[in-house]
Amino acid sequence: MTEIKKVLLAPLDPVHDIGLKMIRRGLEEAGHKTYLLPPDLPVEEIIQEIIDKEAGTVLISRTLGYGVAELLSRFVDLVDASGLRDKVTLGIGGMAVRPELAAELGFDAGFGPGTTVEQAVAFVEGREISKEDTGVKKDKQDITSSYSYKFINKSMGNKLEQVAGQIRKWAKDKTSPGVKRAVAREELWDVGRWRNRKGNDEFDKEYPHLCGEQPKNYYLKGELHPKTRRFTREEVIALEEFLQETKERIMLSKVQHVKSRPVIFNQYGTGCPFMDIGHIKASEAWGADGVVHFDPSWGARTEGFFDGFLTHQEDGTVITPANLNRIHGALEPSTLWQVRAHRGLNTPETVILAGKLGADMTKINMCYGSLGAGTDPERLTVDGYHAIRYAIQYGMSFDVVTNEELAGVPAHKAFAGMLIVSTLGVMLGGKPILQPLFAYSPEAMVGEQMEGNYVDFNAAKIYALKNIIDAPIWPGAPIGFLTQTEDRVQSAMSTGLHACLASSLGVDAISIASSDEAYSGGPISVPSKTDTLKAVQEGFRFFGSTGISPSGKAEQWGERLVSEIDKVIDDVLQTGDFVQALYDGNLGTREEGAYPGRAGRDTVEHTVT
Amino acid sequence: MGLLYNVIGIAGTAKNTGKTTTTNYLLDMFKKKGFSTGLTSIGYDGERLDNVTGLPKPRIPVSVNTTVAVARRCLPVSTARIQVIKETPISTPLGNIIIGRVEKEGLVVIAGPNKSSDLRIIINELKTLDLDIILVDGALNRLAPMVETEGFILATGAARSPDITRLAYETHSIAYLFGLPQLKERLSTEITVQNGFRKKHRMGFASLFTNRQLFELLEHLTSETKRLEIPGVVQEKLWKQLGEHIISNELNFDICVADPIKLALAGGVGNIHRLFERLENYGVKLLVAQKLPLVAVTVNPFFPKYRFEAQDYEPAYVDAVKLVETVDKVISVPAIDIKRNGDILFKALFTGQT
Amino acid sequence: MTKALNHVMDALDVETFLICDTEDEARSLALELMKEMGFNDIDVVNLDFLGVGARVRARAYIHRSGDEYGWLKMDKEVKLDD
Repeated sequence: MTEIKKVLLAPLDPVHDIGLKMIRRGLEEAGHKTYLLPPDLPVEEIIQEIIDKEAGTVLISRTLGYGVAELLSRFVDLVDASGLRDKVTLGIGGMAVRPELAAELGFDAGFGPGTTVEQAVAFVEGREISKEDTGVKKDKQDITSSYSYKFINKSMGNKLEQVAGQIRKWAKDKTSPGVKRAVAREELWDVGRWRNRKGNDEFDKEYPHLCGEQPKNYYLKGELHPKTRRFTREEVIALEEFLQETKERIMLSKVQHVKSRPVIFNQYGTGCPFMDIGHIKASEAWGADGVVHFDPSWGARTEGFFDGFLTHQEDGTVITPANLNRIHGALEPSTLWQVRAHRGLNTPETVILAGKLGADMTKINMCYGSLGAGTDPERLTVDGYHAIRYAIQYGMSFDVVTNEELAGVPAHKAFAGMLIVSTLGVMLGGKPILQPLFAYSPEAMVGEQMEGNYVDFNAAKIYALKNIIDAPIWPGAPIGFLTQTEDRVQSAMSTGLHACLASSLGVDAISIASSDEAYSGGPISVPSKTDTLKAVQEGFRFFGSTGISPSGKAEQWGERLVSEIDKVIDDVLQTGDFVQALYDGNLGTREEGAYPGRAGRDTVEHTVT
Repeated sequence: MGLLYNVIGIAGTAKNTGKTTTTNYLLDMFKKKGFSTGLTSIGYDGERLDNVTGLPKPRIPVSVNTTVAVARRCLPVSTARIQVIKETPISTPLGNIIIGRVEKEGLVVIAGPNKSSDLRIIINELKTLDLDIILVDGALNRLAPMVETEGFILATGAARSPDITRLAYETHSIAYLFGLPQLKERLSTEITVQNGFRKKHRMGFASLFTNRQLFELLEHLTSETKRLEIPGVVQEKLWKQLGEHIISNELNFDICVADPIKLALAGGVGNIHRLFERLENYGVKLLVAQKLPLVAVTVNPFFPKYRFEAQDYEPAYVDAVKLVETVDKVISVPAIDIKRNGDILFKALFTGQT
Repeated sequence: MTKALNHVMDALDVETFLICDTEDEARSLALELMKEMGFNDIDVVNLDFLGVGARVRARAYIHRSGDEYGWLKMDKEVKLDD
């Protein structure tokens, strides 16, 4: 039990300061006795009040301005000269007040804008003002935990299980260079030995021969990828120092207001793990709950990973054990970390590296990866199947993205693919997360579903999914895709509104873009990330627990989506072979912009038993 | 030639009156003399830009042979390499105070103890280190903790008032208050009225901030009163009423205050000065229990001119020569423009020369 | 590079409203403005010209990915020197 303190609250401004009144309430709730003085008293009268009330603490609030510093320091001097200074603790609050100024004026503490009531109470109680008192305490959230993964639409569920069963049976005895590297990474690469620089001899010997040309040259001849360079020792030391100092100072904030969901994800992938860490720390401070690792596009088409602490001069941060490990070490304990594996030739190995280096989540979808990202359907189905198994082994949930919609694939086809992969995931014991797009997609542009508003068609997608399966939903990636312009106010506003729609529809997570989303002339800048986090925060503050009401069309379109998805699954069933269905266009035709990829073609082999 | 004082304070009448310039000058001179110097502050000094005006400020260069007592968070922002030799439990908004030796010269930011009692502890700590001199840098117009020093330099100038005549009169008044004679006795901790021999009335309070307190006191003042002891602060308007009461009732006794700082803090020093001179004419004797010698006055022609339209400050200057001459005429200690004749200040610190 | 610029994490945006006759003029003015301010790695992120003038956001990259970052090399000397 803390001792009850007598606190004098003295506004030196002509009016009462709201902050002081809030602090007063906090102090009274904590059981302290407070005296709120009338505004703008002469300092001598305040001193007399200290004597009369036997106050142990005085909190002064005052806006700085001409001559104010002298006034405040005269107050402190008078307290001292009156022999009271050892009996009373002095705090000063107001705009532009910083600890340096408090020290200069002779106060014991200074409170600038953003001071919480908890911090003020801690000061009065003589406790160390710690990060815990800033009011924002964040825990890592598992967005999958409350879901049963039971089908609401039983007949569709039945069909989905048949398709998933077919994939499972087909993929079980197949392997690929990607799977072989995954096996090597899983069995021969010990993360503890690697961290202690002890080396994994057997792995080092075997791995280069499982890689494509460039990684192989790296391991055997020491050639780096042309767009990458190694960090210098000085840079690494400087980063460590920067990180340590930032971690000590960081003040986390929350984007959510009254609801705990949706959880907010930010993407990073500037190319440079240092810059990424800078971006991540800013995202965390401005309220992001999770971050998603983006690797360069050539990473998806290259067989195998490089190693070393590497920076890359273009978009996307190269996946290497050292890069991932550094980034993981930079995260706040509450931050969710997703390393996406979904689309390329390194899918299963990415999952293993991510798992071994502490990622919470990954991203897997053979449909998008093969129809929208250039990987051969057969290859990615084998790799995706094994990737799901590894994700389960490492306890990672994974989202199933539907970005093929951006190429022009209609939502119902993308959703059918997503549901098939998710069903396979559930069947193997995993925790998939549905990731529908909140976007002004080509389908909606042509079909005019978004002519009147951006609400109904996005809402229809959520209604449809919720009527099919009890599973977590994470619209992405990012929300508001193709609605944003280079104008940062427009962009942040659009993200904010889409986030509010997502919140209103009760989804579990969202990925948000930066306000540089539509700008293609250069890298995404860090202020553009705080822009959208602020916009979303303000949106959540505005709507609170109220929501957005979609029109009747949303339900109508939702129902139509369900029946269209059902038809697509029928088609896949009829084809009898998931891989063939991908080639045949059941899940998106060439006319719709879905081109079965060629990377890794003819590399699938039967496992020798 | 010996130093007159071992602990010297540098106090200002306002921001930007040249405290840091004075401190830097002294540090430089002590360095040239090969003195070991202790340095602390009652505020925060040495940052690039002023915390209030946003104008650049001189920073504090320190050399080896200097020992500093500063808040912990000053260390990472200082370029001087400082070896911590002692941690103290004295806390400030910038962390606890440490005592440290300068190992490699550079610039320091100094934030020291913020109250008299803490400054006393720090000065005593520094005294154990066998230093030749200890400097206490002031902050803003703060004076109270300077009571712990052995003598102080007052930095004043156009930043206090660009009106040279007014500034000279104020400086004269300050010099008067700090020149009041000393009563070599300890004061009671409360305001005490001595009526006749051995008859003392203790008021139950140390300072006078309200009319009620004053009226209570006035009731005890009679023609028998020999001495009034005031250990705390008396508000300016109450001094005035007390003075009027003494004069109109033809009372005559000694008034003894704890130290001149408590007088300087009462309000307008000019008004207090005028009142005291009047009282002295009526035969009232004014004394201080503890003297705090004013060693010298440094005057700075610089002032930050507030621009109302832009709501910021720009640097401005008054006539430096006229400023020094005008102030020097009205005080008995030297008035110095540190940038022109700092050597006068240095001499003032030693025996046998002023 | 001045010391304060070292502290810019990546890009520095300049937002303003330019009085001009055409969108093309606005674009050249915006780039000119950035050059006058001493920046080289510059671009116009956003420009809305609606007859009255142009609302513009110009950008200078101070640190691109893979560069040496001023904010990482901040020794104490750098922090306080002019």
